[in-house]
Amino acid sequence: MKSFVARRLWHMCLTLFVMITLMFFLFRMLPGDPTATVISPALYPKAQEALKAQFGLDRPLWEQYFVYLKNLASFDFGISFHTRRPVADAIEGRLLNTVLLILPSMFLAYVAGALLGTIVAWRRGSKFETALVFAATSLQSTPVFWLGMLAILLFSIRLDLFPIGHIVTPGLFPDNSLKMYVSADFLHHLALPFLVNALYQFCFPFLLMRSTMLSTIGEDYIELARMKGLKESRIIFGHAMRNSLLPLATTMPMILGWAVAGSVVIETVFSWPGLGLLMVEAVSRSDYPMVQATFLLIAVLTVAGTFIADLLYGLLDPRIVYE
Amino acid sequence: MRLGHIARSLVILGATAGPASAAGDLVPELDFLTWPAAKYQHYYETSNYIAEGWRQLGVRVKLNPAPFPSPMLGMWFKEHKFDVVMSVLSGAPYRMEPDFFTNAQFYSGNSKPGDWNVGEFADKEVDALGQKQLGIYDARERREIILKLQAALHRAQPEAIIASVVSTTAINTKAVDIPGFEPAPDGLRSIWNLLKMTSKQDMAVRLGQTIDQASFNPLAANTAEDFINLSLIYDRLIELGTDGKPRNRLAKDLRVIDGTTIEVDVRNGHTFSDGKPVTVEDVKFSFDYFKKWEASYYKKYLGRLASVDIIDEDTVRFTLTQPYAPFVLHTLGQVFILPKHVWSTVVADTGIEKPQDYRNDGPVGSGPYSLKYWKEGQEIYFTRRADHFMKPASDLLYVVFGSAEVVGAALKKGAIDVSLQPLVPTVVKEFAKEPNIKLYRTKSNGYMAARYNVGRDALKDQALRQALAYAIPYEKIIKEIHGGDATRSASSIVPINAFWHNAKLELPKFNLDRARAILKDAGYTWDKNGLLRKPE
Repeated sequence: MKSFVARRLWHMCLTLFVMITLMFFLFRMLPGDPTATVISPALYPKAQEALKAQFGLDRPLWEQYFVYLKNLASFDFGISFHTRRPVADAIEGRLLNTVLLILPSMFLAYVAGALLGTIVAWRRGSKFETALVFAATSLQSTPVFWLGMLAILLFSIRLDLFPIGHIVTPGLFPDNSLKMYVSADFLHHLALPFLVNALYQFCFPFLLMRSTMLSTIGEDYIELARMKGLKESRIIFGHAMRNSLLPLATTMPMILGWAVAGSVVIETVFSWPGLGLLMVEAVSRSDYPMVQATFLLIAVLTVAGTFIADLLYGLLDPRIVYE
Repeated sequence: MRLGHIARSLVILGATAGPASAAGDLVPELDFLTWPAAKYQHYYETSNYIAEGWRQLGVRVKLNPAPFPSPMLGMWFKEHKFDVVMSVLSGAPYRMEPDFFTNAQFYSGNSKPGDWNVGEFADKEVDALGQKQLGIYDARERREIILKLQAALHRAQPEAIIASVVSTTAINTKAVDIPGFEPAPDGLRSIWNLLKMTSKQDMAVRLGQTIDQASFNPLAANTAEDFINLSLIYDRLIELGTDGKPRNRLAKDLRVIDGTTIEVDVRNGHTFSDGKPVTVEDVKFSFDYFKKWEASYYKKYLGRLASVDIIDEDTVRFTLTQPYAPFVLHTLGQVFILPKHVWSTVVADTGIEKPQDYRNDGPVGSGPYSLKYWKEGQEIYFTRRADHFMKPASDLLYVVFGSAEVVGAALKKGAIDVSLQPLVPTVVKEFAKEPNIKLYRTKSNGYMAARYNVGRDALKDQALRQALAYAIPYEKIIKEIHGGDATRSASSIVPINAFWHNAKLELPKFNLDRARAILKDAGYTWDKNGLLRKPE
């Protein structure tokens, strides 16, 4: 087990290193002069040269790469081209907002997905199942920005139940204080993006749970449980559901990085000042240090998630032995 | 064997096609750099309509949409990688200075990568007139030259001017009033209109937009939006008026002593937001400071400034290296007056390398507003200074949105009072019926044009460029693509810049016969496929 963890950790580092390198060069391989957006082309040529030197963009690419690696090793993510402030500060300021939006809605989506997936599998062939599966597959193939826009149109504009976006009512809180996060105003603003994201995230665990349940129900031990005369609810939740949870539990950590990446869309639609919105802005401005840091964060989350999923497998399923 | 046979017959075909065409080579296919269709549909479609018009003339055109900003901006301003580029130059107050859209853009000396003459245009008359007007401070005298310069550009056609955009923004009249609104090329964003915005609810006027501030450091800023907000916090000596003429701001009086000497009397009795007085020392310090630390945006505007001297406690003298008429608007009208007592010690106190790296989180300025707070990506709150001579009416609260689509909806819902984001035509139509929404149509001083790269072979010939101007369906573009929200101009100094605009130039109309006549006269021919061939 120990050697397995060590090996996996080593692989993780390798994967991250490859990712870091790929990201560094991919963004710079885009056609055209990568400095074009960073440094306004309207600037006086001499001024452009000065700015280039300031950001180190005048040095050869490989040199920039090694400087980047060196800084990264000491957790220095650099200075944003756009704001000229440390990238870490910007991310720190936005991370909490994303976590508060994404984690609770993911949690709700997984709990609801697992429960409904179980029930639907048990009631296979019912109208309830048909309707829910149809709804989930259509939802899953719906672009989330469209879903968000629709929600704004209906709930914010037509019914006037929720604000149109933002994290709190503008003008109420002069800073991102604890007072802001525990206010009713914050919850009011959180509600709609939270529900839209939960609805969107619900489809995957729901459909996965359903299909796993369907194969579990056919197992011999379910048959045995029935023969023992156990109550139907005991069979569903105590035996079938418990055993079907395995794939769900192990995909959950992996999905985390993906969910943070998915926040890009939901945050843009709802003007939610989180990591996703920061990423969109950074990409559109070719703010390399910012882009690299945000993408790196998602890469770390995904890789770490996969690692946790691997470990979870062993814990949840005693049949799996690490060698 | 068979392949060789086909190849040989192709050679024969090619050989026979040669003598059949009478005159010179085909006019090369035009590489038309344009905006990505998905995100900048208006601009893309405009280029598409232009290309369609030119194709009817027998010119082959290939649209080359490139992602904006990168790599498009680089291809446009640095690499000059196009025969034609769909040039969209936004209007900005300082671009009312007549040099900007004429000489700066078309002077042959400005053709280096990154400079404004992106089409590497060169014309003796344009160069001569352009350089001449730079030395004339007297507006009326200078105007004569500027008018001639526009006529020369009209003849030489370095670009085909399509139209100026009219954008519509709106306010909620239940929440806000703008008494004495002045039509300005930057509309509601103009400082003169921001100052007048009066809340009817005794709170801050809430303005919605999608852009956030990048920096409140005047030396580090280089986007138009940053400068607008900085000008609320910091004063300048001169402020451009909505009509294109300079107005005194921190300056009380301005005298041109000779071509290279200008004296400015500074308003007395005014203070910075920390209560310290604004003096001629601060004025001299600011100009020296921007120059010394090479603030990138200002480098161009301070290049001709030789020295700033204090004459007495009211007066500062600016000495230039050569006569430069745009100095008044471009330099005095753009450099912010910084408090010497703050900035002179910033580098030493904070251990930074240069003041550009200073965060300037609590900016101290003498402007009509002071920054109460800035929540990055969310809100910027400006508190009005009741004692300021520009008399700001209300506090301003900028609200940043993630996408432009919802800003209009937020206005209608009452979540904001002013939409700085231009509204799309369908929303404009809808809002026209709303009793509480007032629309403002803003005519930009920027414009759209098909800019030619004269440095490349395809469009070197003036006659071809002149003909192309008559093969553009202008009216169709304005009506079908821009929903009527655009106005035409024959000059790059558009009509809203009334004092400098040359209204006597002929506005080209879509007229293929006329275009063909110009080409025929210049010796162009058409082959049997209808494709245009150069004179032999």
